[in-house]
Amino acid sequence: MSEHDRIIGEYGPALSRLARAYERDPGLAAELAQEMAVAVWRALPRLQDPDRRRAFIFRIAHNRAVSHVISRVREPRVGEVPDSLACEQPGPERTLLEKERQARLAEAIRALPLPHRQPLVLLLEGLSYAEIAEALGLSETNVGVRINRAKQKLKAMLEDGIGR
Amino acid sequence: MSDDFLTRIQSEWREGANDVEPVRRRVRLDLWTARAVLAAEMAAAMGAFGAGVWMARYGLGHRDLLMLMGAAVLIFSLPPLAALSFLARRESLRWEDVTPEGLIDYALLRTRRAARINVLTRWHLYVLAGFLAAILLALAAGLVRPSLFLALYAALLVAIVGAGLPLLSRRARRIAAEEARCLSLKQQFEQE
Repeated sequence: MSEHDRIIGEYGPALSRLARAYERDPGLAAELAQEMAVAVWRALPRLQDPDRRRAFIFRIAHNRAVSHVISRVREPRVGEVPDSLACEQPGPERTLLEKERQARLAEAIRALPLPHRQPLVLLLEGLSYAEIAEALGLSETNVGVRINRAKQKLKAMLEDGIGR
Repeated sequence: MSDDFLTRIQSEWREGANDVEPVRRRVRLDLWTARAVLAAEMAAAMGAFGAGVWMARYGLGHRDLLMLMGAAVLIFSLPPLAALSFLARRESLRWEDVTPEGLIDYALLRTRRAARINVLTRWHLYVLAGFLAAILLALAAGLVRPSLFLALYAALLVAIVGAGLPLLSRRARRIAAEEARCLSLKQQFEQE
């Protein structure tokens, strides 16, 4: 297995999820995930400390996503039925409900302001506070504060029906 | 993660989007594309240099000034352009590993530069339009005689100005939208 196959195997799913936190349209999200992977792959030779690879990779991926947000034409609109659900084939009720729940969660996460969305998504991907701090150039205390605020906002949004 | 809420949403979050094959294919394609672009640039630069040297020798041997000028263009323009293009690609990557706030600052700087370039280009088009008007006036006043060259030249100017101005307007709107998004994101970070 080549180096890039190994890295994509390890981080590919996380990059795909990360793209959903920034892009509502499934096609554009898939495109964004691919762009993130390319950016990560091109940036890897600049990684100096292999122990910090995870934070480095997520920083590159988030920055690519921020560039995507800056240059995109359409802003996300909260409360619409996500495209992924609109074109979903009817399947078993449970699968559909699970997909709907995931889509609503992604919708609520996308509605968070960027400074809250970034640390929360990294936390959901299993990064430690120290790794999040390194990826986003923050102090660990600041990461904790932002995650706490993100959690409150997300809870409120899910309770208001965006995630249900 | 000890928080129940976060534990629940983490499991929901990580259930979806696990198809990595398109991502893998894109990275593989990009690897080949990057190599192909670099190889093509190197081949073009070396080819231009080789042709330039041959033309220079021919020009010196036959005392042909046109050949010598062509040689100078090939030797001194294409290889540096290829090197500049390679360096520009490397420079564009440099901004990918700054912090998100740094990236937004850079994007803001870039959009403002783009806006300035857009305004300058618009002024160039106005100059061309002025030049076109001068040609037409000179023709109308009988100061110059109509010719095929003048007609073609005027048509070319009309095409450039006619196509350029709407394109620049569209670009200006896109740049303004990008700047507004940068400012909005910057504000989100400043409020933290």
